Amino acid sequence: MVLVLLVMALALAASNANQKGSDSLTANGVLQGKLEEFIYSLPPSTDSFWTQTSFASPYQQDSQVLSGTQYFRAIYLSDSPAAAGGTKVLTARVSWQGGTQGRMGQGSQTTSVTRLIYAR
Amino acid sequence: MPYKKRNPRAFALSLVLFFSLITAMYVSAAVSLAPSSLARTSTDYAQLAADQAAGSGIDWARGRLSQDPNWCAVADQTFTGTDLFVREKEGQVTGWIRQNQSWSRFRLRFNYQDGPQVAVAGSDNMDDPAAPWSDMPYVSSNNLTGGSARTAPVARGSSGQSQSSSPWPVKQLDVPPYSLLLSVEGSSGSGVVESGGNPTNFSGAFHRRTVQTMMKFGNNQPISEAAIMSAGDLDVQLFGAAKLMLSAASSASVARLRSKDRLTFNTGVQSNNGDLRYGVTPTPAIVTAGTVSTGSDGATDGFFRIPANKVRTPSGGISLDAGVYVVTSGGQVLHYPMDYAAYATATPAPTGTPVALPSGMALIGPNASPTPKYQVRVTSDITINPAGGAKDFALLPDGGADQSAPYAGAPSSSPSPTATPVTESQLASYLFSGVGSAPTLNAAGFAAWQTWASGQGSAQSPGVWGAGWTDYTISSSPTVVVRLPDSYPNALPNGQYPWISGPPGQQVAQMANTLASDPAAFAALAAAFPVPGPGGSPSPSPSPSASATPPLKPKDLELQLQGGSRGLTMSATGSIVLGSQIDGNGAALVSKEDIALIGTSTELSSRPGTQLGLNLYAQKTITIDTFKLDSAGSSEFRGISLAGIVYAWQGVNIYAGNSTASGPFTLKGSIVSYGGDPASAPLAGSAKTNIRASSADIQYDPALATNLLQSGPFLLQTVSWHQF
Repeated sequence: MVLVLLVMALALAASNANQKGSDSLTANGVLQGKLEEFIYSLPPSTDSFWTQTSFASPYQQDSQVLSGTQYFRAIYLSDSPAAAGGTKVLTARVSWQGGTQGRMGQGSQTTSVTRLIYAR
Repeated sequence: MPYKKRNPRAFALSLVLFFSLITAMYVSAAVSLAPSSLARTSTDYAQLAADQAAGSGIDWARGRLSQDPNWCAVADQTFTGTDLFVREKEGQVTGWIRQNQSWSRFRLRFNYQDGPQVAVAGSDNMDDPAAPWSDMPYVSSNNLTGGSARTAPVARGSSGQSQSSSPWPVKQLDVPPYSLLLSVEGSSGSGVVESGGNPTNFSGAFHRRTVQTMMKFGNNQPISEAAIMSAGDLDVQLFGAAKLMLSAASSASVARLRSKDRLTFNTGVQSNNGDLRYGVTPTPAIVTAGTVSTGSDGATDGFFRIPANKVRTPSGGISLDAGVYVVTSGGQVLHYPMDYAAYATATPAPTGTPVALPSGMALIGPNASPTPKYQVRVTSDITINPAGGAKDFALLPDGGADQSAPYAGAPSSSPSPTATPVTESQLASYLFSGVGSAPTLNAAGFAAWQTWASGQGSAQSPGVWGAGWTDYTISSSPTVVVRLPDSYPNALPNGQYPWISGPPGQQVAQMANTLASDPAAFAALAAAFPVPGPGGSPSPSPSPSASATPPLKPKDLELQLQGGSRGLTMSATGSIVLGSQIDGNGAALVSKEDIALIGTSTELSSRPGTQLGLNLYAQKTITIDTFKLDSAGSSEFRGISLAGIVYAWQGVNIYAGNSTASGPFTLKGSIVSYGGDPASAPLAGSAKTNIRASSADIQYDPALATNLLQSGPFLLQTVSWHQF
C-alpha cells in the first residue's frame, strides 16, 4: 500500500511538473505578445515620451487568462544613458500562480525579458 | 463441473497491480518527458531573449542615428546604465542587457575588416579594428546621406577568413541611396564571462538570432506628405512635349501635390484649394486630368515644419564677411562690401578689393575643360557675418550671371538699367539699334554719359535735335556723334538716348573702338545700360570691369561644397546669391532672406547626368533661374536636376523655361512654400510656387526630409526585414 501511495504521489508530482512547464511556455508566449503589443503602440519620436527620464512603476499592467491560469502582465520602463539617443530600457514581466487558488502549488512564478526600445 | 469460488483478495491484488502498473507507466512517461519539457521551456525563453536582443540592437542603432545620421560607431565610447552595458569602437558595437540571472547580447559592425582606410568602392573607408570579429560576416552599411548606391559585402572569404587586405569580392547587396542596411546579431545564454563587473563573452553555448533590415529616413510629422506643399498658388507651366511626371519613392507614399490656394497645370489640371494625388504607386505617372484625382486640401492639415530654430546651422568652420565676391578671368577674387541688390544697381560700377580667401576656402584654377575654369572650394561649414552694412553673400563670375526675371534681392520691377554688356561692340550695337522701347536711364547713368562725351571732343549745342540737346563728336574719321539732352530727365520722341549718329555700317564699330580704348570709361558707361536678349527681360548682373581676357560666365565658375560627412552648411543673415555652377554633396544653404541660383549658364550641377545634392532654406523666397544669354544675345534655359529639399517661407520659383526656350526640371525630394513662419500654421494664399520648364519629373522622397534638420529625433522607416 505504501508503494502504491508513493507511486501515486510521484504521479501527482510529475503531473505538476508538466503543468509548470506548460504554464511557463504559455507565459513566454504571453510575454512576447505583451512586448509586441507595447512596442507596436509606441509614440513617434517627436512625442514627449522620448524625453521623459522617469516613469510610473509599473508603467502598464493588466492580466490575461489562458487555459484557466491567470497571467499578470506588467511593463517597466527606465531611461537609458543620456548619450544613447533617447532609447529606453523596457522590461516586460509576466507572473502567475502555479496552482489552484488557496491550495498548495508551485507558488508565484515569474518570467521577464529586458530590451531597448526606440521610436519607429 | 463443480463451481469454484473466486478469492476476493486475489482480485483486489490484481486490481492494485494493474493500477500500479498504469501509474508507474504514467510516472515513467512524465519523468522522461519532464526534462525535455524543461529544456523546451528554457530554449523557448533563450530564443525569445535572443530575438529581443536583436531588437535592442536595432533600436540602439535607431537612437544613435536619430542623433547623427552618419553614425558608424567609429568613436570609442562606453555606455553604462542599469542592467545595460554598450561599447562602441572602430565600427563595432557590442551591447549587453541583463536578463534575470544572465545576459543577452547584441552586436553590429560597420567595419568590413577589409584593410586600411581607403575611399574606394565597396570599402568601409576605415581601418581594421584591433579585435576583428570572425563569427559575424554580415555587415551594416550606413548610406543614409549618400546620393548613390553603396556596396555592402559579405565580410568572409571563400576559405572562411574574416579579414581581407582589400575590399571583399562577394557582394551582399547594393544599399540604395539614402538608405541604411542594419545587420544585428542578438544572442542569449546562461554562462557569461565577466571582467570588472561587465560582461565580455559567453562561456558556453548560446542562442543566436540575426536580423537584417533596410531603412530610410521618414517624415515623423502628422501631415499628409506631398512632393510639393504650397500655401499659395501652385502654378506649373510646361512648354515641352513631355509633361509632369509625378511619383513617390516607395509604395508607402502617395504621389501627391498640395496647395492651400489654386493648383494649376497647363497640362489640363486645375483645382481650387488643390490637392492632387496619383494614388499609391512608385511608378511615375504623367499628370493629366485623366490620370489624377483632385480634391480640397484639408484646412487643418499642416505642412512639413522646419522652424528657424530647427534648421541646420554651421558648426564652427569658416567665418566670412558678407558682400559680393567676384571671381575674375585673371584668377582674382574681388570683394564688394555691399548687398547684391546694391551691387546690381550701382552706378557707376563699384570698385572691388582683391581678397585672400580664409582657411577652408580656396580658389582653384585655371582648370582645363571640361572642368569649370575656376572652382571655389569650401571644405567646412561657413557663416556669413554682416560687415560694412552688407548681409548678403554673392558669388559671381566677372562676366556676370544672367537671369530671366527679377527676383528678390534685385530690382523687382523692370530689368536693371545698370547692367554691363558683355563686350564693347555689344553695347555700341545696342546704343545704335535700340531695343524698341525706351530704356530707363537714371540720373547717375546720365551724368556718366555726359561726363564721358564732354571729354571726347567737340560739342555742338543746340544739336541737330534742337534746344536742350547737344551733339558730341567722339570720332572724326569717320564722324560719329553722340546726342545727349542737356539735363536729366528729358524724354525723346523716338524713346532712345543717348543716340549715336554716323556713317551706316561704321558707327557701331567706331563707337566700340572708342569704348575699348578707355576701359574705365567703358565700365562706367556700360553700367548705365543693359543689353537685353530677345527672349524676354533678362537682367545680367554687372561685371566689375572690362577685361582683356574674356570674362568668366557661370559655366566657368563652380562652388564646391565638400565639407562634413553630411554635407556642409552655409548660413547667412542676408540673401545668398550664386551665379555659378554648384557641387553640393548634400550641403545646405540657409538664409534669413532670399536664396537665388541664377544664370547657371549650363546644368546647375557641374557633373552632367547626376543630380545636384543640395538643400535650400530661405525665410523669404527661393529662386532657381537657369537663364542664359549666348554670345549672339539669344536666350536659352538649361535644365535643373536637384536632389534635396527646397524650403522657403514665402515662395519658390523654378525658372527653367519660357515660351521660347526651356529645359527639363527634375527633383528628388520635395518643395515647401510654407506660407509664413513654420513655427505657426501655414497661412493659405501667402507663398506661391511657380515652375516653368519644358517638363517636370518630381519624385517625392521622404528620406530627404531630414536633410535640413539640425538634429533629431529623426524617424527611420523600415523598408524590408529579414531574420534567420
